[in-house]
Parts: sequence; structure tokens; C-alpha cells
Amino acid sequence: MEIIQIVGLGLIATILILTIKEQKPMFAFLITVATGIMIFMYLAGKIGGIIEVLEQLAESSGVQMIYLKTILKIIGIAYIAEFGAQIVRDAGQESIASKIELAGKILIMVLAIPIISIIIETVMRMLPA
Amino acid sequence: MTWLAEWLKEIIFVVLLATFIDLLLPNRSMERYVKLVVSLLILLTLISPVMRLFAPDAERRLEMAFMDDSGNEELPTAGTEEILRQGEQMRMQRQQEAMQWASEEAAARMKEQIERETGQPVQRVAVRLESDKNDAEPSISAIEVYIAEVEQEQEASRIEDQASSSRNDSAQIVIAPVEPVRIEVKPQKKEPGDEDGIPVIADSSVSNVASNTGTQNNEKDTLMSGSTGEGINTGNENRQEPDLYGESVSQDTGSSGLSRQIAGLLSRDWGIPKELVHVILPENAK
Repeated sequence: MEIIQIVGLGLIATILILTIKEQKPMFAFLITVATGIMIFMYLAGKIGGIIEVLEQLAESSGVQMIYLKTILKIIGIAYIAEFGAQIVRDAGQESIASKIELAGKILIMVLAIPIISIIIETVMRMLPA
Repeated sequence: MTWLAEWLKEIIFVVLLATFIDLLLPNRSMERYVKLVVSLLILLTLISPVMRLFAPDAERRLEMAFMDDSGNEELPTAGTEEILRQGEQMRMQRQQEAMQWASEEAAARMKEQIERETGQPVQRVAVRLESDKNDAEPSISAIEVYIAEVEQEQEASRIEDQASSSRNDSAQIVIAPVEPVRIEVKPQKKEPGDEDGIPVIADSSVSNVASNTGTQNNEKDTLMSGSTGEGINTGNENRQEPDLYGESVSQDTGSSGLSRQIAGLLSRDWGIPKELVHVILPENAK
């Protein structure tokens, strides 16, 4: 059971952080970041498996690959931005965390621009001039 | 009806994918934004039959837009360097090919001329051109004349088999056991850029244009003459062994008149210094 390992890692890290926080807040933060990265990397492998299955499905069902790529890009941006923001938030920098989230949101919106422009163009062509 | 099935499949899949990421999403703060993009994608799928009618190149443009979006930060500089490097490579290759061609042409002319004037069948002429980096005129750095042997019937058949199998145009030249001996006279005069120049060697009989642009003379030489049959290979071995050097010169004193004649001919008609001409005679011609 992998979840037990992950939770155990989290609990150990929490105990370590709680004991060390009074003397060395810096090290406590480093432990937080390291634990977070470990869990994230572990999950990244799992997400990779999911994505593989999705790609196979898309290939077999004939959906356009560009859609799948877009969706995967969105997921990636969301995850990475979320992860960074959480780490920064752990360090107590709430404002920087919100900036990171803002950047993630804007990058996701940038992905929408070509789609919107093509839809609008199609609609304009459909309408009689 | 197949397009309908395809369309439905696509819609179902995209909606499925949308729900899937909804679950995968880490937290609520991104949700609205992600939902917007995903719903746009679903809309795109829904109107895809209409789009095929009104904007047939939409898919390609989408692809272009996404490509552009993902790679526009680091692409230009790396791309320019890459293109410049490729251009340089192509220029070098072109130059190499031109020199190759020139040396082949010169070798063919020389072979013809030598055969006409001396009456000796020439197996092949190898002309080595060198040019330094700064695009100077390439100069001939060495000429090797391989003299073919007419007699020696007892081994001729064996060699001829090999020769005819490896090259067809030599059928009229009966090649006896070609065991070339090299008169090696090192060129005294060295061009200043010779060290980093590009040596090119070609022979007149077989136009095996080696695409390899390596600058090692020996390596290239072997490469070029590797296809001209066994006799020349042994010649190469002979040439690469410094022990045989003196011996080969002494062997050759008997027919040095011919080599002198060839060298004189080349220096008269081509303006090539005599010390650059190497006449390589068959071993049994001594």
C-alpha cells in the first residue's frame, strides 16, 4: 500500500518539523520542501501512467491529438503552479504564492486564445456577410 | 455515416477527458480557468463538422498556435545557431565536393595524357588537392600514378576476376598482380595552410566519391582506393609501412626512366613540381 508509505513519510516529516522548528526554522522549512518534492515526484510517476492510458485512448478513439495535448498542458500547469504556490505558502509568503497562482491562471488562459480565435472566425464565416 | 460515428466518439471522449481533469485538478483556485479552456475544447469538438466546412485549416492553425506558444522563448537563438552551423557544414561539404570533382577531372585528364604520351597503360592517377581555410585556390599537393602491368599471364586471370567483379570499366586493362611500389619523395614545399587544409584525393578509374570529409590523408586514401581492387590495397599497405620505403625506391631504379618521363610530362603540361609526382609501379616491373 503506497498510501501508507506516503502518509508515513508525511507524519515523520511533520514530527521532525515540529521538533526542529523552535531551534532552526530554516531547516524545518527545508524538510517541508523536501518532503513535498518527494511526494510530488512519487505522484508524478503515477500521473504519467494515467496520461499514457489517456493517450492510448485518444489514439484509438480518433480524437484530435491537439485536444489531448492542450488538456495535458492545462493539467501540468495547474499542478506545477499549485505545488509551487503551496511551498511558498508553507514558508509564510502568502503574497508570492498568490502571484504564482496568478501566473498559472494566466498561462492556462493563454492556451484558450487560439481556440477562441478559431471559434470566432468560424462563426464569422458562417454568418452571411 | 462514419463521420457521425467519429464525431460522436470524439465528443464523448472529450467530455470524458474533461471530467477526468476536473477530478485530477489539485485545488479549487484554478478550477474556473481550467473549466473555461476545457469547455472551449468541448465546443470546438461539437462544431467540428461545421468547422470542416468553413475553416478547413483550423486544425493546422491550432497546432501552429500551440507550437508557437510552447517554444518561443528559447527557440530563436538556438535555432539561429543551429542554422548557421548547418550552413557552415553545407558550405564545407559543397567545397569538398567541388574539390573532389576537380581532382577527379584532373586525374582523368592526366591519365589520358600519360597513356597517350608514354604508351604505358596507367591503372589510375590519384590527385590530391589541398586548400587552406581562407578559400584560397586549391593547389595540387601530390599526384600518384599507378602503372598497370600488361604481362604476367599466370596471375592475371586471378586478379582479373577480382578486378572485373569490383570494377567493370577496367576490362580492357589487363591487370597483372598489381603490387604497386611507391617512389616516395616528400614534397619539400609546404603551403602555409597545409596543416589545416582539406586534402582531397581522387582517382580516375573509379569515382567513388567518399562522403566522408575527414581530414586524415591516409584514412581517406584507404577509403578511396578500397574499391579499386586488391592490388591497390596492397599498395596502400606497402605505402603505409615505412620499412618498405627504402626498398621500394631501390626496386624502382630500373624503371625510373618512366617515372621521370611521367613527372616531366606532368610538370611540363600541368606545371606541377616534379617532387609532387609519385609513380607507383607494379612490383614485377623492376
